[in-house]
Amino acid sequence: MRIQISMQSDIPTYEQIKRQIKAQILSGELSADEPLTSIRQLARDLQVSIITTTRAYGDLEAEGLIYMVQGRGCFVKGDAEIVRRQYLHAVDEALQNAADKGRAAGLTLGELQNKLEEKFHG
Amino acid sequence: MGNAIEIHNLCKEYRGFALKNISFSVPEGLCCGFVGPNGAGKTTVLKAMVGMILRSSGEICLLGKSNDDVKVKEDIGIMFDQPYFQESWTPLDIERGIKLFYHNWNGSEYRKYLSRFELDPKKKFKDFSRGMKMKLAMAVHLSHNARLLLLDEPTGGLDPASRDEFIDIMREYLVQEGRTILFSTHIVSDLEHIADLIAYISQGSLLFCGEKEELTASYCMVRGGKLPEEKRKFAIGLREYDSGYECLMELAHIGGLPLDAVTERATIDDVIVHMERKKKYA
Repeated sequence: MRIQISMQSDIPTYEQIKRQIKAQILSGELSADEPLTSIRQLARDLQVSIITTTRAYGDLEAEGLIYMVQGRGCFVKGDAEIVRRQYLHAVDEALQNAADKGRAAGLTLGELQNKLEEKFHG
Repeated sequence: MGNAIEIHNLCKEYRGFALKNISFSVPEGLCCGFVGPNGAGKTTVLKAMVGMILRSSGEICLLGKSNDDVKVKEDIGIMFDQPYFQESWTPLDIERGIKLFYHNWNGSEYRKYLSRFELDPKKKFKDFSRGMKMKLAMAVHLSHNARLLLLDEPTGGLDPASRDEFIDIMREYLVQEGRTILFSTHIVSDLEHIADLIAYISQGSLLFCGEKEELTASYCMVRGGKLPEEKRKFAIGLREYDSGYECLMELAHIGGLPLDAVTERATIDDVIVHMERKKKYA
């Protein structure tokens, strides 16, 4: 788990932490059932208050991305919904990539859509 | 999660100074910064908490027990301005002297901290620098597994590097569940990097106790050329000078200020400085 926070940012610290962990879960960088750094340890590591990290983890739990086990810590959720969201995330990235490259190569939106259709029915 | 600290209507009267109905609580596992100007009563509250002075009235509960209960003191680490150790004692003498009072004293842990904090076990207490003395006191509290630390300006008089080192020791202390700190400070960066809650006391009364962000969230700083007469009553700690004015204002009142007014987020310092200025010139 890698997290870099900016104290100067307008984005609240807990939100920065949440976004970065979320991105790493959705990209598959953090895998299912992988233990996350504990709330209190993370507060120490990032030099933020415990309430801040508690809030970030609480939000991630509410979004169904992680689960907490009393006395053992927090883990990445590994159920179907997570996998589906990871796929959706990958689809978004691939489509963005296709759109960027297509535009660079001078394709129209229609041509790009045709290509996608071909692949989809492949 | 219960409260590690619960204070109800604490009063203490002295000639010329009084603590007035102080009530606040700190949930177990969190870190609370205690702020307020010199002479506001921070040290008096801390002393009343550990029974070093007798309160006139009110109730104090620490770790779920009344603070009059002697047993509770084993689980508390206290540190005032300077640790109270015999000047001529070495860290090893200190261990011999105080381990009798703590049933869960852990000698090997103590020696581990001495070497980690680079404290010579045979050097006399009076020959340590201020930063070293503070670290020694922390080594003692960590070695009897204190669950609650009450620290009076632990970072006062330390250089920035020693201060950072000390704050990191506090952070490390908090990693284990169920540990709580109440510490007084004048240094806002201490609060920014470690405090969950802030208790703000002024002239013997508690003005605020709550989450750190709440203290600043409802205010903003206003600067401008001329403050309209109808907004004057909302200005907190107003400072006027030839070319303009500066004050703190509740967010709710900034609507309708002239267009030249600049508003920005208030920091903890801004809030305290302006609140105090308001009192002084009120």
